[in-house]
Order: sequence, then C-alpha cells, then structure tokens
Amino acid sequence: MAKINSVCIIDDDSIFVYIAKRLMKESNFCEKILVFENGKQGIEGLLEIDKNKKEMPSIIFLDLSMPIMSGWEFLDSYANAQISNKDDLKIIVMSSSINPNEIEMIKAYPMVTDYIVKPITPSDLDKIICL
Amino acid sequence: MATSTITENTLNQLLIKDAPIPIATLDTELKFLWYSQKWTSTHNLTCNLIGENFFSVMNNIPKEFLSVLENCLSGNPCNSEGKKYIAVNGDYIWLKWHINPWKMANGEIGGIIIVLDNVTRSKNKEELLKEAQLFSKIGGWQVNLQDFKVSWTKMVNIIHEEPLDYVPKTYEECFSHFKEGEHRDKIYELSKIAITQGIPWDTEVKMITRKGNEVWIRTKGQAEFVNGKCIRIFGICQDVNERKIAELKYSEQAKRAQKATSASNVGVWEFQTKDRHTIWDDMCFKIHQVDPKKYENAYQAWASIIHPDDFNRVIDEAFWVSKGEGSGVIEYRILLPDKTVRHLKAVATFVTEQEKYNNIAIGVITDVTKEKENDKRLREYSEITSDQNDSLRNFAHMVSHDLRSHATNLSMVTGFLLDERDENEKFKLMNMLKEATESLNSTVHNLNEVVQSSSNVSEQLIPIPLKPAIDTVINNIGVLFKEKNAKTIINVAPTVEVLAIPAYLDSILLNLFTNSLRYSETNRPPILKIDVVINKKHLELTFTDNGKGIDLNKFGGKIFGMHKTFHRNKDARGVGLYITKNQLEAMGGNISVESQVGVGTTFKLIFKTQ
Repeated sequence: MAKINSVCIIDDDSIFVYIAKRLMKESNFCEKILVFENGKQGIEGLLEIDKNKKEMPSIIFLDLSMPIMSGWEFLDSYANAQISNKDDLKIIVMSSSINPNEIEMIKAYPMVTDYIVKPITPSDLDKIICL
Repeated sequence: MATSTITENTLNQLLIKDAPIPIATLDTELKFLWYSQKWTSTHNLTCNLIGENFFSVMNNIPKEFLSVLENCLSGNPCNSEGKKYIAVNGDYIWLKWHINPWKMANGEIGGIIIVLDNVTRSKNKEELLKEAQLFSKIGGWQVNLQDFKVSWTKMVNIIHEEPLDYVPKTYEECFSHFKEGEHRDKIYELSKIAITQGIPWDTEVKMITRKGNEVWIRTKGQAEFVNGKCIRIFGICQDVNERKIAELKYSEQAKRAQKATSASNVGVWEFQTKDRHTIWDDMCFKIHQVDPKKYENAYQAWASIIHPDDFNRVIDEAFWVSKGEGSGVIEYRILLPDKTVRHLKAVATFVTEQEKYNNIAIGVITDVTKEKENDKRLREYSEITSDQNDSLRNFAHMVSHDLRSHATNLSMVTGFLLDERDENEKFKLMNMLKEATESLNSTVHNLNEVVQSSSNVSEQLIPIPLKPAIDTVINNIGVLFKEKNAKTIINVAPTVEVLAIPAYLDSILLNLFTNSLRYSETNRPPILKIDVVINKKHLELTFTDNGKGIDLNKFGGKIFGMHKTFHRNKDARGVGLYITKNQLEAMGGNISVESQVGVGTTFKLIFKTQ
C-alpha cells in the first residue's frame, strides 16, 4: 500500500508523463495518477473534483512551459481559485530549465513546496514522500 | 662782478629804477637807497621802500638771509643760482641772488647792490622734473659731432651702473654699452639714419651695464642740423626693464594662449544680456561656419546659423546660467546651408552683474560633432550588444530548456527500452523514441534559424512579390488546411512587392498560418485573412484569424519572447513568433499583435518596400 493515494501531473510532454508514471509505479509512490496536458485543463480539473467532492490529489507535479496555459498562469489561477483544503495540497514545480531567474521567480510563490529540475528521478520521489 | 665805486652824483637813479631786473641798493644798515620797479613786482611790494630796513619790508625773507647780506657788507661779493629757504610764512622759497658791496669815495663800504630774484616757481618745476626723471629713470645725453664730445646726465650713469663721473671718451664708446648683436646693430643703424637723413628714433633695446646686467632701455634720439650739416645728436635714455620684461612675459603668454586656442579649435566669445551685444574671435566665426563680412554683428551671425529648434532653449538656458544655475555648459546645433547639422558646446561664465538686468558672459565654444557622433555610435553599439546579449540569453534558455528536455527524455526512454520485455510496451517506447528524436531534430533546426535571423541582413534584401509568396506557403501546408477545413481571404494585389529575404518571408508566413491553424477554435472552421496597406516606404500586412485568441493581459510583451512561446508542440515549432519577430527586425520591419480571447488574433507586420 502506497503512502500517497492520489497525485496529479500537469505537463504537455507525453514522453515525460510516461516516464514519470512509470517511475511512480515502480517505486510504489502512489495509488492514482491524474494527468492534465496544460494549466487550463489542470485548474478546470481540480475545480471539477472539488465541486463533486471527489478525492483531491495530495501532490501536483507542475510543468512550467506549456501551451494555452503555462505553469505560471496555473499558479496565478490556483491562487485565486475557490478550492477547499488548499493547505493539504503540495505543488512541486518541474522544469527542464536550469535558468536561475526561473528558480528565483518560483520562490515568489508561497504555495510551491519544491522545485525539481527534470528529469525526475527515484530519489526525487523519495524526497517528496518525506516532505 | 667787481666791487663798484659809487658816488651819489654818478649814481643814475633812473637807470636803476627802470632796470629790467629786481635790483636795489642798500646802505650799511640795510636800508633801501634805491630799487628798480622790477624789485617791487618780483617781491610783491606796494609801499615806498626808500629808507626802510630790508627785513622790515621784505617780510617773507627769512632772517637767515641776513648772514648772506652781512657777509657781503664785510666786502665779499655773493652769488647764488638758487637756494631754498623756508619763508616766514612757512612755504618754501627759492632765492637767486648776486650781491656786491659798493664803496664810497673814501673807499669805505657804503652798502650793497643786490639783485634778488624769487625763483620759487621755476625751481619747483625743475625739482618736479628732477623727481620725475628719477622716478621714470630718464636720463639725457648728447654727442657733439664737431668734437665728438659726449655728455650724459647722472641718470644715464645710474642706468648704466657706471660711476657718476663716467662719460664715454669717444663716439664709438657710446655704442659699446648696447648688447652686441641685433641691439647694438640697431642703434648704429638708427643713429646713422638720424645723422644722414634727420629721421629721429625711438626704440627699445638691451644694454649691458658695467656690472654685467642686461637691461632693457628705451632710447630716443634726434639730430640737430646747422646749415644742412649735422652738428649734434641728443636724446633720452630710459630704464624700461621691469615694464619690458613684464610685457615680454605677457606677450609670450598671450601668444601661447592664442596658439593653444587656435590649435585646439576653441572659439572665445563675449555676450551682453541687455542688448545681446556679442563679440566673437575669428575662431568663433570659423566654428559656426559663417563669414563675418556677411553680418552686421556676431549676434546676427549666430542667430542666422543656429538650428531654429534650439534658439529659444539656448536663450532660456543662458538666462538660467546668468542666475547662477546650471553647469554653464550649453549645447546647441547649427544648421548649415547644405542642411548638415553640427553640434557645438559652449561653456559660459557670467562676470559680475554690471547693472541691473545686464550681465556679461564670457566663454569658449567648441565643435563637438565628432564626439556626439562617436557617442551616438557608441550608444548604437551598446544597443546592438544589449540586443545580442538578450538573444544569447534566449538562446541559452532554449538550449537549457528544450535540448535538455529532449535529451533527458531520450535517455530515460532508451533506459526503459533496454529493460523492457513486454513487446507491446516495447513498441510504445520505440514510438516515443522516434517522437523524441524528431522533436530534437526540429529543435536543432529552430535554433539554427534563430542564430541566422539574429544577424543584420538589410543589405541582402530583394523585392519579392507578396501574393505568390503567400500562395506558395498555403499550398505547402494544404493538408493542414484541409484537415482543419480552413478558409483564406487574401486581399493582396498581384503587383505588391516587399523587400525581404525569400527564406525569411517563407518562414514568417508559414509560422503565421501554422500558428493560426494550431490555435483555431474547435467549434468553428478557421478563417485566415490578409490585408495590406502601402505607405511611402513601408508595407503594413495585417494577418487576422478567428481562433482561440491570446490573453494579452497575461502574456503581454512576452508573446514574442522565449518564455511563453517556446513550448513543445507536436511539430515542435514553438519558437515560431520569436523567430518571426527576429526575422522581421533583421529585415528592417517589425511585428505587433492585437487579440481577444475567444474571438481571434490580429498580427500587424511591417515590411520595408524601399
């Protein structure tokens, strides 16, 4: 039985999503994985879950560069969204970028728990469980 | 004068009375016997003197004079060419006298004959002259050309630092005091001209004193002729050393200053605020490139050449400088007849206010066009550098982000593939591998385009007919159009041309079409419209779609940057707008966007046409 029940991945890179899913399964990281292709789908999906009183994921893995609605916009929308028990939800930002400005900007978002530079590794997942 | 023997009968009283000199006869008791009328007028006397005692009527003559008279009464004739006394009234008095005793028939001294003149006036003048000579260090000299005898006043000796009794023995010796070389030669020459032609001289030369000092003197001389023959030359000699040295020093400094200003191309000017009276030196006219002959005054010249847009500002700034504000540096442009513009820089200092509302400014002016141009060029370089820095940063970002993400995906998928036993899963991974490889390839291609579009290519622009270029692009992506059921409205006349690089124009149009089709709204077929407006030198191309639109409040200026546009799509053409903007700018154009979410997007592209 995994420690975490449900996580959510918001990323448009299908290959990365596949890799992440596979790693999570192999390390028994969680029971359920929700996937959204961009920030817009992500925020709409979360609002839908909250509205229907379904189980909210406890961790969101968020990519930054996405079409339609980027990770940055998702964070802005999420901050203003009416979602209950936001405190129980951890947001982990993932990016391929090693741009120091980006990392600096991420720190300005208090709801972001951690920042991971892609690719995601089993040790990243271990660390996240301990958060 | 010998001692006279006077008898009462021989004494011709009338002769004495009318004598043109102040003369009187006194007896042994110094009582007046006779006196001339000149005596009374010289000594300011009105009363009858006969029988009166000398000192009782001559009441301004000091008592000391008694000793002179007594000395004479004892048989000694006395003479003086002038002696200074303090008169009874306290003033100085100069007396000049000739006194002889006279003897009676028996041979005894009966009294004195006295010629007494008051020479105070002329003596005072003489004294002043002496003092003036002393003060101005002027001496006099003359050479008698008949016997070549030389005479000098004492001052000449002092100037020459010679003993006071020194006099040149020969005519030649006179010249030996001048400094050998040009100075001595000059005096030889001038004196020769004076003697032969009668032309006087007045010049300044160096002489060497007895003590070996070099002294500047002013020497002035002229010749005197009798019956056409020059009999003497005379003149003055003045020590002008201090003045001359100061003058030479000043002139040297002035020369240096002038050299410096003319060498550094600095003009010097003066300006009066009250009536705008302006004084310019030659360099000012040269710097302003105006001919002084064409203008009544410097102010008019200035007003005619200054750039009209700068005139009021300069007057205003000058006013503030006169109030002690600002740095005193005023820059302005001049507009030359051939329409070229030059930049001038004036530095002004206001001298103290002469009267209310009237200030005099003095200053310098230089042409700083070259500096301005260098400055401008430097700024341009700095802008280019800054742009290139931005491009580099973007490039680094792209490399960091995109190549990295593809590379890591490739390595992860490959890793999974090696361990995978399930054939279905293997096939899936193989497809991912292909997808990732293609993305990587596409990204590398895009990076290449970014690098190429960053360099300035304005020289390589050629006129390209716009309509055929658009048609070609639409044909190339015909499949996509069919798939999306898209329509186009192209309002471009077949003759319209733009200045572009063919590959860039293709790339730009392709990006616009594929972007619009990719972000089309699902509930309606895409309609893509192109309109053009032709201006003088530019063509404005408007590209409108009815797609999803972009929230510009969120994306704002970043839409053409890397941050928001560079995302991985299936065809990995995410750098599109960034490249489009770069390519347009490289060709001297630009791009802007207007959009409304849910309605559509309009891009405005500017192309050069000339």
